Amino acid sequence: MKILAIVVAVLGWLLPILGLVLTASNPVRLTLCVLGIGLCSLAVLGMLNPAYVKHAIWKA
Amino acid sequence: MRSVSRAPMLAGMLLLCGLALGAEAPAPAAPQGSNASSLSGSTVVKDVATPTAEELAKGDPAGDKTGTATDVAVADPKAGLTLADLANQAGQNKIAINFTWTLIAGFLVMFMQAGFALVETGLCRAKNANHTMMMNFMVYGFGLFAYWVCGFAIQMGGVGGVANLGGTAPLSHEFTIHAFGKPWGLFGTSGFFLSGATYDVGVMAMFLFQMVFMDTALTIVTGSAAERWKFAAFAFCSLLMGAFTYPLFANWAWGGGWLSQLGVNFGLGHGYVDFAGSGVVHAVGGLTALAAAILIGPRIGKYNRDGTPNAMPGHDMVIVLAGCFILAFGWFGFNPGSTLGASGAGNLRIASVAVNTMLAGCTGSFGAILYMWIRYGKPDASMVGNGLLAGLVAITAPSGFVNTIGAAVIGLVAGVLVCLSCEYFERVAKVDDPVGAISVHGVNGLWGVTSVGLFADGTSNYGGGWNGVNGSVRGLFYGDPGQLIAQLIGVATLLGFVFSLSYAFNVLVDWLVGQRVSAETELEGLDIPEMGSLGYPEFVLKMQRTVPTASNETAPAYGAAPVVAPSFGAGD
Repeated sequence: MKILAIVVAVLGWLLPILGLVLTASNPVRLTLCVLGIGLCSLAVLGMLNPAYVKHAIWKA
Repeated sequence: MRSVSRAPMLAGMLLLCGLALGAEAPAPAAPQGSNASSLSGSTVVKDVATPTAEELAKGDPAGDKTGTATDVAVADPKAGLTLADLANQAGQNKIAINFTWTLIAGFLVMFMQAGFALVETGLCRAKNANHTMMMNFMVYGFGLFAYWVCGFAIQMGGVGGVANLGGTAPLSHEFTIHAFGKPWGLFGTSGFFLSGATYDVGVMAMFLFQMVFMDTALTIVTGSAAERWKFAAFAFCSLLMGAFTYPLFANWAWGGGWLSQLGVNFGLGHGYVDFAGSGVVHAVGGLTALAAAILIGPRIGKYNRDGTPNAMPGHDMVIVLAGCFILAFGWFGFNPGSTLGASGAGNLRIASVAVNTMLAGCTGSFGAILYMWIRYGKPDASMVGNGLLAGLVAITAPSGFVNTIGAAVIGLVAGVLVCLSCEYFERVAKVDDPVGAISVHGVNGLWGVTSVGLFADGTSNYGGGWNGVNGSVRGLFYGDPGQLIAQLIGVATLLGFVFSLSYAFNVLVDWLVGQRVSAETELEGLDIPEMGSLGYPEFVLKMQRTVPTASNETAPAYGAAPVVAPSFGAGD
């Protein structure tokens, strides 16, 4: 899950870059930026962090 | 940070009031029908009134006899003072002003290390004071060493000539790949150990200024991992961050790399713009802090078994707020110093940058104090201090491009945002951050980057362009949505690449030396086991037991009475 989270985070970074090369439309680029940032945030806070909290010291 | 555009050479600065010009050699013939006479560099400047030796011997209390034409360096004493001498002196003066400004600003930023040390140590418990202070002390050395070895070369090795500092010509090697028909600068390759051609005064000035910025990013991480981080792990992480993580992103933003060229290559405003480092310094530091805090885990006693958090107040609010003032003072070097000059090329805007910085810090503290007072009934000192810092962090990127109203708004939002973020990370994400570094620097660093794309007002003029694109930087509210897109690509890069790289390095260090101290060490306090001595050896620290109380279930842990806190005592 941790590795998957990092992969998703990197994909979230690459999404807006892909938008740069695929289109010259600013609305589309802006949308892809927002989606990419959302994907990164999901990966970090919704996937990676819960994987650690699951075995947190205060649950021992 | 300064754009890499070259300023126009000096012209028309040579005619001074009261000078009578004479020519040693005959002037070239004027064009037919024209009364114009032309001057050359070898034109000798004659009859310049200067104080006599007798006048100087009487002293100069008014200061109007000190500093005259006799102080201008003359290339050929036999020929005397020439226009070429005057032009060279003017050029040297401009660069000297810029060197002095940049270096003194860098010295102020270096002193911010003391501010960070006081803030972090004050927000931690007394039993960890020595350890926390030592991390903030040694991050200077570890970071500087890594940066000298390879970090600076990776970051600035291909930046090209920086006109404000006389050109920095040796920094001209950038590793670039070509994809989709565009060049993508990735990292520099000149400047390792500051040797060879980079043994250059302009490079030295640049190195000092950039180094203190890098160290600010590194020290941020020590706050989020405090009270349970092994000193050896801190050392390795700092070296890796100073050598690779920070320089890579900084190259992309400030060293001529691909992020800065989004305007040139893809028509997105002026590319990723970050005047003094909301993204490059603070977001990089804050996101690395997040990676470390997630991996290391919360302090023992921070959370109860049901997940509710316990407040762990710091041991000395006096030094926390004193540290905040030191940081606010140092920020006058951080933001205005990022022009890399005080002469020419729009650099007098340093006054505007300084005022924007002050204002955002002020409204940041307002936002935090109002939020805490309304929500919890008290103006919490630690959050107000963090509110000031959040405002300063947020204004760092846009400070060179916005007006005072924009600066005030940016700061106010930052002050509220830091409070909300601290609550989120503590209660929802259950990420323990003893000093709020993730919220102050990470979250508000990203807000600062975004705010450039919103509030940049198009009135700045730093040599006619920025990042190779002519014209002034302007954001969405002033007509350029492309700038916002460039900023958001920077945000995605910070979240997706920088965080991931930082996390990977932290995993590596965990595998090599282990990140977290033992439970026994943590409960005893890190000072003796890790450092060998107490921060306050003349005081006996009394530990209270961790006891879940009814107040933990209903009242926010934020600002609640401490249940685990050392207290000073005369000894039992």
